[in-house]
Amino acid sequence: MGMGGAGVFELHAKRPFLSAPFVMFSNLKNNFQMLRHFISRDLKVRYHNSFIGYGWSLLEPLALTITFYILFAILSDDKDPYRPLTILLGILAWSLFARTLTSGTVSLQRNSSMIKRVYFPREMFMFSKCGYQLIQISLSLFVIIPLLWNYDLMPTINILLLPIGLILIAMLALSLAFFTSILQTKARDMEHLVTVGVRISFYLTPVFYPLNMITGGRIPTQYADLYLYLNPMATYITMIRSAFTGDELGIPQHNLIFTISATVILFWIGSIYFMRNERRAVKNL
Amino acid sequence: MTKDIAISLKDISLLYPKNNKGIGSIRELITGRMKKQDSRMFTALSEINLEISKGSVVGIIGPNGSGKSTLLRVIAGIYAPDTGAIQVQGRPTLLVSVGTGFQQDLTGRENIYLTGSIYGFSMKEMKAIEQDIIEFSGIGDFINDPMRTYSAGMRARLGFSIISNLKPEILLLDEVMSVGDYEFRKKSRARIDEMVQSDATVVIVSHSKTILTSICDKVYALSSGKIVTSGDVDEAFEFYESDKE
Repeated sequence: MGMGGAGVFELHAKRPFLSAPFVMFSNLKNNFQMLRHFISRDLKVRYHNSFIGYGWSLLEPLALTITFYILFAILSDDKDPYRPLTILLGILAWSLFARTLTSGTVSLQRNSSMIKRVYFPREMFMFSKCGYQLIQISLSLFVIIPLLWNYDLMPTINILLLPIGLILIAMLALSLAFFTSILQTKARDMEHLVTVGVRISFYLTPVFYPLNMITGGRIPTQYADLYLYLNPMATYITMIRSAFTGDELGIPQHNLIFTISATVILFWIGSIYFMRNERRAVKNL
Repeated sequence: MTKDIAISLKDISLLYPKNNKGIGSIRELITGRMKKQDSRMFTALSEINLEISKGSVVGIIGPNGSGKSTLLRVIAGIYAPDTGAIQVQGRPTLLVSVGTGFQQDLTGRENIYLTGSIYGFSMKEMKAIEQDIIEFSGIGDFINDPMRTYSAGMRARLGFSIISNLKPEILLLDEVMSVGDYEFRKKSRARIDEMVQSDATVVIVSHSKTILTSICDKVYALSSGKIVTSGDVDEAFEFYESDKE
């Protein structure tokens, strides 16, 4: 909605092209209040204002961590000194990605009654889901403090990789959700496809095992290279791990540059696609 | 756009997907691409030209499926027209059903702020009218209870109360609604009359001749997505009566 002089709303005057991500961010700024309300609503529903609610939100990542820890102790001879930390961080980072993508995919459809009654930038639904997951993971990260203390890990300069990794994961999940949410309005089985895709990627991504189990000599180098090109989450989860362990990333620079630029470009294209199609897509709701 | 025009529509056309509720699968999405576009879409609005001056009250009448509600949604910015240009001076608010975006787990008060933010009003603006909203709704102390404890009537009263206190510059009414008990219906009718008589520009969609003749400056008849009369009230009703048969 372009605002001309004297409060003229030039509705639908133009659909942004290359400026799409910037239009989105300015919408985000203008509707920040709404975003806050949406996020705090989700938090209230989740936590019911209680500490027990917080405990419940940690139950799944902790239970999964223990399960995978035991499995690995039995099945693997890999010597990862920080295994519980590796698994827990992987699972938390993965849930940020998976939940932003899956809830973003259905967000237009689930909010159809609101969308048909009042106009506001529809990407707000996706940003609010993403913001909620970012807060959720920030709260969950407190549980790793005892682990860090146990391993005597002090924060190093690497801790900067944490916000960078989280933002890149959020951007990646959002860019995919920009496509899937629009497609979901046209074909209601899109969400099943996303669910299956997320489930498969969970195993193909170093979520409950460290990256070097894939790239560390088990497969030929050129395949390891290809793997890093194709799976940006492998890079981002490893970033978040090394933010806490202080270990070197162990990812070649050319892979790093490719993965980050691919994510930025995908976000750009996704936001263009979303902004140019959402007004037409909501007719399907 | 001249200063005294609030809403201007030029050659607005809008296609709508056929049987949109049964929208299907990824398979159809792929095979559907091969079909001609016109077999999947119907024309909901066709070459609408309309200028509505500031402060006027305009009625739209037409049989079901003639595109009345779609026209309001286009003005509200909800649907984008496929062709044509639309300009709206001021913030349009569509009043179609009350309680949009209400959250069961939030209190009535929190829902006031939430609804306000959805309609583009800041926390400060909402705080200023909060007391009026609560008073008009007659909810009383329940305002601090979660909305899941409300009756349907209470929810509707609060919803109406919020929207009517937002004092929109451009009010789009889809059927004049009646909510709550007899007392509240009287109150809300009076409030709608009040809004209609204020400086706000109002577009009303209705089937009711009595309502439209009593409050509208102009009435247009809509038939199969086209505006078919010039704005004259009697002409519109004449057409509507003959169109029904």
